[in-house]
Amino acid sequence: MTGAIRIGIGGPVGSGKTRLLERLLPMFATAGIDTAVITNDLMTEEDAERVRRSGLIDPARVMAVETGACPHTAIREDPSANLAAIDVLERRFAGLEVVLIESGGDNLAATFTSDLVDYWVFVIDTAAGDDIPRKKGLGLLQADLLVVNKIDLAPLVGADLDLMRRDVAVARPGKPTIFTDLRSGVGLDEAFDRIVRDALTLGVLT
Amino acid sequence: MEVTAILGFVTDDAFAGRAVDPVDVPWGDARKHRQALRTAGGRDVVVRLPRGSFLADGAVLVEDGATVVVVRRPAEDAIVLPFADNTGADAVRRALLLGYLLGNQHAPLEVSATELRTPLLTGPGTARKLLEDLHLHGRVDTVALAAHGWTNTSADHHGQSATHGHHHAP
Ligand SMILES: Nc1nc2c(ncn2[C@@H]2O[C@H](COP(=O)(O)OP(=O)(O)OP(=O)(O)O)[C@@H](O)[C@H]2O)c(=O)[nH]1
Ligand SMILES: [Mg+2]
Repeated sequence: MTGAIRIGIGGPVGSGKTRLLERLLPMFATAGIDTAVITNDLMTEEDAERVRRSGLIDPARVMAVETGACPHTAIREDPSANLAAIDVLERRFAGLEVVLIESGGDNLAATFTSDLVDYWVFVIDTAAGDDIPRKKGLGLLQADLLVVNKIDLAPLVGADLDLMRRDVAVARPGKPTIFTDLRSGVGLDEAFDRIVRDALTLGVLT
Repeated sequence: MEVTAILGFVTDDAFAGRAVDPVDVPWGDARKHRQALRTAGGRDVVVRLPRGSFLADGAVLVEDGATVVVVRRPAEDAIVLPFADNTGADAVRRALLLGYLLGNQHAPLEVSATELRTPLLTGPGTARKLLEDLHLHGRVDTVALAAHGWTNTSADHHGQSATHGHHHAP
């Protein structure tokens, strides 16, 4: 495979996609993995600006794509704007190994095309309701990794985590799911290890 | 075992007489070029194919002299519309309306010379009602989907299809 490994991060509005990026960036840096970021938003560079200001990564390594309307269009129907951004990053940073691509917040059916990404993560959160895994959106069913975030909020909103664990096991047979609190970092190491193993090395020692 | 190229199809002469160890790849994973799979026989297979690869039913991923690891598309929930059960000008009109609705659902379509197959993206009751409302003779069923690729998806518009059995005279 030529060029950087491309990892998609999708999921509903506010589930924690940018927070996951912000948490992963220092871990990629520590692991010596040359990384860049593309964020997708409707009509602003809000998330890109946030990541640039975070101090977690060289701001030149963060690009924004404005999707205009439905965010899934830019990650599935017509990924050309994201592909163009990848192209710019790969030219700018010759040793680039990983590009993290955050989709704009979308619905449960949003999936990434394999023309754009090599691996994709879907992030949902417990505060949006413990019935989400039973609603079987394609995004949740087909993602390479499902992250169920904001487990710290589960008791506050009456979300039953055991029920969610059972429901995701039924909805995603054979596919991994990790429960996280990205505010405190619970589950983060597991998510990082999983992504490195499945997206970067696929269990093969390199 | 690492797969970096599809070796051929199980029906190729080269694989005659080999034992087959199938690996189920549902339609949603068929276009994933990087994934870890476990075969029915318990082998772990790591797929690292070029972007744009498609894991078709019958594709040979591994061969070790005695055994071949072969992609198998499992049966999944689907809407099936046999064309022979829906003939005449009015059926064309109604089938077009169905196609429009499926397109709005971003549903991928597998259109052969004889029938339409598309994944069930709603509950089975809603899909049956949809067919009923359009007076189309189809069914909700579990069948293998995109065994050899999609005719159309919301993302590809090449109209390429291995199952397209209809040729136009020039
Ligand atoms: N309590 C709690 N808050 C979290 C957690 N993860 C993220 N948040 C907060 O949830 C809010 C949304 O997080 P983001 O990372 O911006 O979500 P997003 O998915 O990128 O949102 P969009 O890009 O707008 O769709 C922010 O205020 C985060 O600080 C968590 O695990 N627990
Ligand atoms: Mg965000």
